Order: sequence, then structure tokens, then C-alpha cells
Amino acid sequence: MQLVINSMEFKNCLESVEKILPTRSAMQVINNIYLDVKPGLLVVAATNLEMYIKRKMNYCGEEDGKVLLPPKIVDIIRHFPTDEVKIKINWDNKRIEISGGQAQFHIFGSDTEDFPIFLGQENTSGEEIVIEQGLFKKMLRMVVFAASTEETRPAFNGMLISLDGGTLTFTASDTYRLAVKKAFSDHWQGKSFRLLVPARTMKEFLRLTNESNLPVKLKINNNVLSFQFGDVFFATRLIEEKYPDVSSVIPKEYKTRITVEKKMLEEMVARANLLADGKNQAVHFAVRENDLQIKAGGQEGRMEEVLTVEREGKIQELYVNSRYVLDLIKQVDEEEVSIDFHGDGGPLIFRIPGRQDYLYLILPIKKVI
Amino acid sequence: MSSKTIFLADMESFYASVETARNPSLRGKPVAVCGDPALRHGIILAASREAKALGVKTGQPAWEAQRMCPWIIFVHPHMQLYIDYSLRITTIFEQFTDRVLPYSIDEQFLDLSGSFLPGGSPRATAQLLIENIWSETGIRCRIGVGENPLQAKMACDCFAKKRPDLFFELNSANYANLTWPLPIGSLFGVGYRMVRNFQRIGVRTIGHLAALPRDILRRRWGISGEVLWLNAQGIDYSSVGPDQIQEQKGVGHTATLPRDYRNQQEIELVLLEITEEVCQRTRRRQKIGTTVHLHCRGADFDHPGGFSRQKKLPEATANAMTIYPTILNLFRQHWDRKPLRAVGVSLNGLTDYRQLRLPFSACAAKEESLIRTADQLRERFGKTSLFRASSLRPGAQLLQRAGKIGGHDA
Repeated sequence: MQLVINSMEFKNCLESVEKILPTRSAMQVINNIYLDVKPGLLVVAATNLEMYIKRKMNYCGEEDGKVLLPPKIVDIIRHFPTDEVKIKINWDNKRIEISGGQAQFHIFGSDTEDFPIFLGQENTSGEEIVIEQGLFKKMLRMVVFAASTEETRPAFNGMLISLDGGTLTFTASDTYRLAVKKAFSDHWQGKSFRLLVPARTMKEFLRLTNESNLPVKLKINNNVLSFQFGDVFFATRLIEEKYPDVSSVIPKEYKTRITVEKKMLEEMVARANLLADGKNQAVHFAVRENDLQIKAGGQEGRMEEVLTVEREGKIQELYVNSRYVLDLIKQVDEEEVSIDFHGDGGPLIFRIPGRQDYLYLILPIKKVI
Repeated sequence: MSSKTIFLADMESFYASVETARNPSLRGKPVAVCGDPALRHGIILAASREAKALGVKTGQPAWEAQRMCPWIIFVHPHMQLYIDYSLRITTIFEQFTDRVLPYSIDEQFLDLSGSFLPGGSPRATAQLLIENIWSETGIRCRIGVGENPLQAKMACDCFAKKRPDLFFELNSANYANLTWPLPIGSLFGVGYRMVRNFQRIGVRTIGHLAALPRDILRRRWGISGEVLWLNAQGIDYSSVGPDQIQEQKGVGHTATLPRDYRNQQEIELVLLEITEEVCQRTRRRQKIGTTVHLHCRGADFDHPGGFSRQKKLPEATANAMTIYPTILNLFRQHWDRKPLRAVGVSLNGLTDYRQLRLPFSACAAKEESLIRTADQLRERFGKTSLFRASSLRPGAQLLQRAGKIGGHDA
């Protein structure tokens, strides 16, 4: 008895679960890929205890059993010579024979008994919503980069997903900047939740390649949020920390507003970033009579550049971390962005003109006094 | 590249010479500058030529010096006076060249390449400098000349100090001949530990080191090993000039303790005082720092123990209470529980700019203004006008050290 599998499809499956395999974990068993075979259907899964990913695919055969595959399997399939792989598994001693064309591999699988069970599997109940995949990923991209990667305050390693009155809101901040993106749908009316998801796992989710644009089903069960679309099931643990109320730090009225062409701003800030000084990568923004001047400089030299902009309100100048500006602009698909200034120590707020559903706030850099 | 003419001027027994210059009745007598012999400050900071001739050495305890030479005259240090003298000497040098680099309180580099040499030769110019310093300050100055700062330093330390004319010149032609027979410890940059390391691999003279292949040094000790190899060859790529005076990258403070400290609580108390001092000085310069460095020196003088460790802070700051936990962690992790004679803290990676934070916790702004107010109070009414109550506990150093420079009387 054997499994006859399309090697391309199998490779895709393995590669998408491989990304979350822990590189070295004290728990040997989770360094492996979980394989569950039912007649005609196989499931591969992996976990690093924080997140869990599972993919399904069809195959030809009538096998039934479970085995742990060593991570080497991914490379083996990646380099396989034929379009079709034949896999023979001895369910008793977990020996696996992989063959195709003239190539033949014998590898050692192991028992699935100690593999951790991740909660929140498909068939459990819980609050759920459905969202279009493109929109979901776009929302993620616009927000998740603002979360902190430092381990000092765990709440800020998370991205807040909240649903209330049909409005879904993503929020992330590292306390130096803040991104908020909203979306509305009638289908979400009457449901409400507030979840803190590790930003790391959301970045991993963005990396999941899936050509299909199937809608994503979000479901909350116990302390796990799961995402399901097509043959992919992805689940993450939630962070049990209090997230602060961010609305109190967003100023209501701006003192200065400029509107700039996104592409021009991106290129200009990227150039200024080349000479931006120190850990803060500070560049100087000066909103003048009818242009925006950007200056950067340090021990290696200085640069300055000017861009014509539309301005409302007072002239204003301040220092800002150029990396933070670039982080956002790279994600923007629209042609223009607007920047609001709020005086000397106040934040810069980036928005997409004509849209109320997004803001990105950066606090400036001030000279020490 | 045309060859350079670098001078290193070294003031003989600087502190003792200044004292003698100020009080001519001390001339010709064995004089030693030292702090209060009752406390640890009773070590010899400087000894006059007459005292050195009797075997008195810098760094020796005062009682030992007194036993060697019962009629020795002890003088209390006057640190501010020494600083003033050092600056006066710089002014004299600046009449000869604009490229003067004070290397320490009693050593200064001069770059005279391409300059007009009064007297025509380096030797004649050096004689003139020595005479000028002597007549204006009453201090004997020794001058080493070389084609780079290293050669000048070696010429001064290994030769000029022992010559009656107080002058010596090294150049690429005579460097190997003259320095290679010297013991490895005389090479600039080779300290107590490196001597030990070198002896272990059979290097006893500078010549032995010069004869080793360069890679061996690089492999074993990295860049610093390679620099020592270059030093042995008489090669030095550094220069003397205004660009050498770099912006200060850190603020540090080290305290030699009045006795060996072995009680954890007492050491941690002094660490807090030093951290506060370092932060105050950083704030006075309107900077914040990104890395802290803790340095502890063991009590055993002959086998210097202790450690030196640093840690990057999550966020640039100059707030002592933000930094102190990091210092404590470093200390508790690395201290081997042996008694300490000195502890130091420094704050490095200084920057002028602070990335502002969202006010999720409102107390940050309050703390900021509290610190600023405390700074203003101390600025106006003195260091001891406002201090932590812990500085009243046994072992605290703040009240004793206030009003001193480098731990010695101003």
C-alpha cells in the first residue's frame, strides 16, 4: 500500500508549514511535521506552541494513520525529480520510503503520541466572522509593522483586533508610533470581541502564500484565534495583557496639514535615510511656505531636498525617525498621503486623503534639554 | 607620504613638580603628593625626583614610602591647580604649533611637521620648548620625537626620561635597533596582562613580537593584537590634529573606595551614588545615553581581579533610576563576591535627541520635571544640597567625595 502524491502540491503544503517550525526547541517533538493520513486525504501540520498551521490536500490511495516527519522531508520533496511521489509508510516502525523515478529515500519518522494538541480546531464552536482575504491582508499590512519587537512590555508585542457595532479595528503600537485601521460590514453587526494577537504570528500569516482569494473565517475559541481559508487552517494563541486605550493619545485637531505624492515622499525619505544619524535615524522635516524640506546629516555628511506640497495651517518643523516614515509609505497603495502636524512635541499623523478608516501616528524626536 | 615630526612632551613628576614650583622651599627635597594616609587616599599620587631616587613609587601606600624615607614631605593634592598648570603648558605649546593634543594631564602631543622649527632641528626646538616650560612653570619636561605619535611616545618613555638632555629622537631607521632589545612590557599598549600573555608564548622582548607573523596576533587577539604588532614595528597610523579631539562619546565615573568593600549592600549603595553622578553629568551636557558600562576592580593589587561589562538599554536615557536596575543586574551577575577596591559606571552612546513616547503612562512627564528640579537645586546650592537618604548609610561615598576632583582634594 502506498500514497501517490503530486509533488508540487505536496511541496507547497510542506513549505507553508515549515516556516513556523521552531529552529531549536527543547521540546524535540515539535521540530517535526505532523502527517495525518485518511483515505484520499492527507493533512500536514506544525506548531511552535504559539501558533499552529495545518494544510490539507488530496492524494491517491487508501492509507490510514499518523506519523511525525523529520523536517528534512521538506528538502527531499523540494529536490524530488518527478512530478509524482510515491510514499510507503510502515505504520508499525514508522519507516518511510519515498520513491519516484530512479530516486529512493528511506527516512525515519516518529510516533505522534507526544505531539501537542492545539486548541481551537475547526469543529469547535465559538464567535466567528468572515472577511475577504484581500481586505484582511491589506489591513494587516497597514498595521502590524507598528507593533514592538522588544520584549520589555508584552502588550505592545501584540496587535489588537476588536469588533464592535459592525466595525472591525486593528491597532498596533510600540509606544513610539501607532497604527489604526478600520473596516465595516453589515454582516458583523451584533458581534463584539477584543483580542490581543501576537504581531509575530500575524507577520507569519502575511507570508503564507495562497493563490486563492477565498474569504477568511476568524473564530475565537478559548484563548485561541483561528483563521481558516480554503485548505489552510492557521491558529494563534492570544496575549493575556491589558491593552491601553489608544483613542486618548490621538489629537482631534491638527495645526498643520500637508498633502504629498506618495511616491515622491517615499523616494525622498529613502534618500534622507541614507545619511540619517544614529539609532533614531532622525531626519528634519520643515513645512515651509509652499514646500516640505527634508534634511538629514551626521558624521558622514549632510543632505537636503525639497518637495512642493499643499499646505493648510501653520508652518512647522521637527525631527522624526525616517525608518518609521518608510515603514508606512512602503505599504501604501494609494497615490497620495496627508500628514498632520500638532505643534512641536505633538505627533505626526499620516492618513490617506479622502479616507477615514486609517491613521498612522509617529511621535517626533526632540532635542534633549 | 612625507614623514611627520611628532613630539611628545611629558612633565616630570607632574603633581610633585607643581607643588615644588608653588612652594620653592620644597626644592631639592623628597616630596610626595598623597591624600589622607588614614584612608585609602593615602597612596602616593606623585613623587619628586629626589623621592624617586630613594625608591618611592607612584601608587605606593604612604606608610611604605615613609619607611623608605622617613624625612619625606607629604603634600595634599590640589587637583584644580594641576589642571590650571596643564592648561598653561598647552598655551605655551600652542606658540609653536596649532596641532597640540593633550593626551593626559601631564602628557601632550605636538605635531610640528611642516612647521617652522625654531633652531632648525627637532633637537634644538625641543631644547627651546624644555627651556620655555622650565622658565614659565618651573617644571622639567621631557620630549620624545618620532615620525608618528607612537615613536614619539616610545622615544620619551624608554629613552628621553633617562637622558640628561631630556630629549630623544626615534625614526623608522633606528626604531628597530633601539627598541627591539627592550623587554616586551616597555612597548606602548602592553600592560600587565598582555605581558603575561606574551610571556606564555615566548615573547619577552619587543623584537620577539616584531618577528612573529602578523596573522598570529590577529587570530589570537583581534585588532588590538594587530595594533600591538604594528607598535612593535614602529608603525602608527594615527595623527595629531584638531580632528583627533573627537566628541566625547560617554560620561563615566570611577570611585576608589576608602577601604576594600565586601558587603553587597554597601557596594550597591556606592553604585547608586555613582550612577546618579554619571546621570547628572550626562544631563548637564544635555545628552542621554544608550549603553551602560559597569567596571569593578578587585582589592588584590598584585592580581587585579574584577570585571568590566556593558549592556545596551532598551531606550536612551539619563535617568538614574531607569539605569540603576540594569547596573544592579550586571553587578549581581558578574561579581565573584571578592572584595572590591574601586567601582565605576559609565553611560555611553550619547545622543542629543530623544524619541518621544505616547503618554500611555502619564507619570513619565512628572518624573522628568522632578529630575530637572533636583538638578537645578544642586546646580545652585551644591552637590550635597539634595541627595538620597541612602547616602547617609554606612559605606556611602557621596558626602566624602563632594568637592573633590577625581577623588582628590581640589
